[in-house]
Amino acid sequence: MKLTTKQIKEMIKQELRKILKEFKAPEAARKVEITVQPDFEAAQQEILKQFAIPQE
Amino acid sequence: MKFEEFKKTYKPEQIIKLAGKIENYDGSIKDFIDKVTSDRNTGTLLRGIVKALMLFTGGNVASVRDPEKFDPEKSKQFDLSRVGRMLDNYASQSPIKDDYQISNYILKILAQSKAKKPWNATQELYRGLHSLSANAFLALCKPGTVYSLGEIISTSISAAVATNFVNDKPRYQLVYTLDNTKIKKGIYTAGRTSAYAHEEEVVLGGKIKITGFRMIPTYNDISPFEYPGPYHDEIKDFDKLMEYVQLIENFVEDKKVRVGEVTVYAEVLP
Repeated sequence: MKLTTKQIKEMIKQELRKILKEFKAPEAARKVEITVQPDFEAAQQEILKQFAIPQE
Repeated sequence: MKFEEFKKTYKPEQIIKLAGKIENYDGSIKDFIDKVTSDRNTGTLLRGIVKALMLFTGGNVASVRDPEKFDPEKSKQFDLSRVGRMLDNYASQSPIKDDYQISNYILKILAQSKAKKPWNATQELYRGLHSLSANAFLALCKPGTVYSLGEIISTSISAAVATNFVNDKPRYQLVYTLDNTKIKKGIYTAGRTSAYAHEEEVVLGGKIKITGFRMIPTYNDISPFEYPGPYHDEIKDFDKLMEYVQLIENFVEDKKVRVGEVTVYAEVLP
């Protein structure tokens, strides 16, 4: 298979992008397990507690 | 005046009407005071309203919210409002429990009322929250949720007041932008009636409904991200916010690190 210089450059670019992506944001690490959950009762209590004081 | 006597003498409509005039009176405030106090009955009502707003902004707020918490020692120190200084010595006398009961009664009425107020007090109101747990923070941002504010709370027409309140406080922080355009609720207190005029407060009560939020992440060094570098885009999607908060929880131990600027939009309910 004959490749043009342009095609070769593009292939190198794509490979580099893949490497950089893997290096900076590994797939395994970015798919975090979501353990946080909205706590509506705690939120209501915070409103009542914090809104009871002025914004000084 | 004793609390029970005050309650029997003045109807809520009278309180709302007179309270709405103080900050909105076009002429000089001295003329207004002279005019109102020329009638003994109305004069007593004015003193009650002025003292209520003064104690809420410059007195023992806990006792205004719950007069059973009245403590004569703690009540000795309070700051005067401009009208409070101009009225006869009633306003500047050390408050007694009846004053706090009257203040509580008046403010509960005014917080739910549509008392006359300047145009900007019927637009967006601001209130900050800070030092929130991740889960409370998420719930406070969740669109569609309805929260009770309590009976008497302080908001401001100045976004800067709310922002300064949360600045330099631990995570998570947010500023509520409350849309008051439909209901136009509450009582405005500032230059004439507040002990802290610069806070430009609207005293409010009742419920709010969360309508949306936006977060601008500001922390630049969290790794790994979904894509390299910091989040540049605003987060407006709740699932995305959950993901971001999870990353913060997993990787940022220092609670004082600023992780984002959060505005939560809510509507003031009737």
